[in-house]
Amino acid sequence: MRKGRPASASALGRIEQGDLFAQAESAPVRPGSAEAPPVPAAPPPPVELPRGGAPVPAPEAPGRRRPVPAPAPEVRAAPVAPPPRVLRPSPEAMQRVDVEPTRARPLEPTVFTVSELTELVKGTLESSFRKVLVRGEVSGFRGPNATGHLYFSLKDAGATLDVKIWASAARNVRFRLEEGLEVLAEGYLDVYARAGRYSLIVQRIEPAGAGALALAFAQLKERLTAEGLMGERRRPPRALPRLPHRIGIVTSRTGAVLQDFLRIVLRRHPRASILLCHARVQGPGAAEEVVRALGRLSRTDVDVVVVARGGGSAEDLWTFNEEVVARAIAAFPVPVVSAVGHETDVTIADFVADVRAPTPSAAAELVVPVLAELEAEMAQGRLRLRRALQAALAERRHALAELRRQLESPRHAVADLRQELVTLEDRLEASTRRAVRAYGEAVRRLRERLDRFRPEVLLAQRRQVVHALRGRMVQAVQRRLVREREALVRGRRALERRSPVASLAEGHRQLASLRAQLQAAGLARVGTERQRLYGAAAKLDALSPLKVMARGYAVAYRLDTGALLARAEEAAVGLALQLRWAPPGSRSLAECGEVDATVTHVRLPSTQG
Amino acid sequence: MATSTEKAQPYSEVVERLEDVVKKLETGQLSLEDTLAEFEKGIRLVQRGEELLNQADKRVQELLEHQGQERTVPLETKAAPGRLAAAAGEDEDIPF
Repeated sequence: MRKGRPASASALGRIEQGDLFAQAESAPVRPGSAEAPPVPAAPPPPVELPRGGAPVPAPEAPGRRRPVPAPAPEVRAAPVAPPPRVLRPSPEAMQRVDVEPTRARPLEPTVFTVSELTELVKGTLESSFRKVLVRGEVSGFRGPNATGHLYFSLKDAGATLDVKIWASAARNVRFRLEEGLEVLAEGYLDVYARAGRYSLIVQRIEPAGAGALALAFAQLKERLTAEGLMGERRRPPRALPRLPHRIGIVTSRTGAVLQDFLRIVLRRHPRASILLCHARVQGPGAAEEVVRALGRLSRTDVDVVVVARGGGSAEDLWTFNEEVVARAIAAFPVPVVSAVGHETDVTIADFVADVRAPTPSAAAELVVPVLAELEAEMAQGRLRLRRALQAALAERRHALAELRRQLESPRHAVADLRQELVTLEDRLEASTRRAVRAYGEAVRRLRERLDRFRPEVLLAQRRQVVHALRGRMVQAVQRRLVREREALVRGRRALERRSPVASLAEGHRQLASLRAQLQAAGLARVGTERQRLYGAAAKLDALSPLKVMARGYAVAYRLDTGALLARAEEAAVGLALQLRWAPPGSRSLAECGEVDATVTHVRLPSTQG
Repeated sequence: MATSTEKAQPYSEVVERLEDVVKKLETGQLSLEDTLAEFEKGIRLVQRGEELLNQADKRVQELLEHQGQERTVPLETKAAPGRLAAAAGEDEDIPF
């Protein structure tokens, strides 16, 4: 920001400042403004103030609530400050001014201590100026102190005001404070009792001129955003043509911007077509000229337009913050590049244009390609095409060669086929052999099964069965015979054991023994005993079955068991018997004659019971 | 290739289509016929691009309005001293 702002501020026109001050109306009222007509005529100050004196309230206006001595110097300073100002009187304020004095404390001969008075002053000032808007020139600015607080003064021709901006508020100041810069500061008054000084604690500060612009800027921005000409809802920006047919440019015919632009465009593309449409780009009426120029260009064959202006102050660039210009750009039929000011300058035109170029020179680079690059691009395209074609052809040639190679060596193929054939043959043979074997086996099994049902086989089987049975039968019979024979032997032995012959022999032996005993014992009883013995022997002899048998009787034994068949009932037809006859004089069964016989018939006495 | 569409084709479109053709060719998956057809198409696009690049005739002019009439006049540039717009017929030299 520059010094000497008032001069340029005057060029801003009344509207902006008026707007700004209209906003300021919410601040405490300047009493002077009550009498001031809406024209910048300086009203006669109600009180004479000590010029450049200490910033103490004027003694005359110590209304407890609305005395406001500070504004008075500002009003006085008006002739020095930019004259065009609209100061709207507030009826309410006027009323208050009338009313306040009645509430003023009557003068009393009271003696205050310094502290008491200062405390009173502090209360008065601080409660009365809780929010105040002050305009003045920055003075004694030395930059932030160590903690980031700003201490400086605001002054005008008539007065000086201490100002403090705490670091927290200082952070929000987006412009640079400079000595002599005219600003609008908003804040509250604070009294530092110990030093007896009061100061303005600033919460918000704006450069007086640019602040107004900023407000207008913000308002237009808001309006256009709401309409969708900028912001998130705007149509997507159009792409610039890669190789513009003709470039339109709206700028001043005499400016250096045009020459720079042409130089860069033609350097990049020596045969580029450019159509200038002159417009003043600064000052009153510039916006309308720009709009007219755009209108003329819209009827030509340009396919891209650059709206350009060199760097300058915010006011210089203001044309491109005008609503008419913004609308003309937004509505332009082909892409528009906004190239206004320096890189840091932002205008509404930048927002509504399709492309924002940081500078006019940058715009030149954006709208036109380097012809040599495009030519190289085409050459590259040609080269890639050829290479791709060559690659494709080479590939096919290779494939062809491969095919030919295969054709040229058919022997390999035949050998392969032959080998394959041999293999197949082997496999065929093997599998056939296997199959035949399997069939043979099956047939054999079937034949076997069939054979089992042939009559002769069946007969043979039966015969075999019969044969086996016969064998078993014979064996059984033989076994039986053996058994019977053994039984017979056993029987015979048993019989022999029980034979009377043996008993007889025993008797004889006993007799002999007895005789011997008798002989040994004495002979007394020999005669009698001998008698008895002879008698017994005779009886015994008479009783001997052998004796009976000797008369022609036979004794029958079972041949199988060897048991004596004592009764006819024990006989059965077919029972094998052994008949024994004892020869006369025999003394043992062993001496018997034997006859084997079979019972053929059994007759039993019918009366037997 | 319909030449009528080619006439109105902006350079960027030519480049885009050329890029497509080259990519298609470079994948190498076309038949021989298609390869040749694409190659020819590509060559035509290259020619068209070069044509567009050569076509531009340097015309640095100013559009003026004089008594309700719009006219273009050559504009002298300091960048290229002495090189006036190649008065391509439509320009009338109107002294101002």
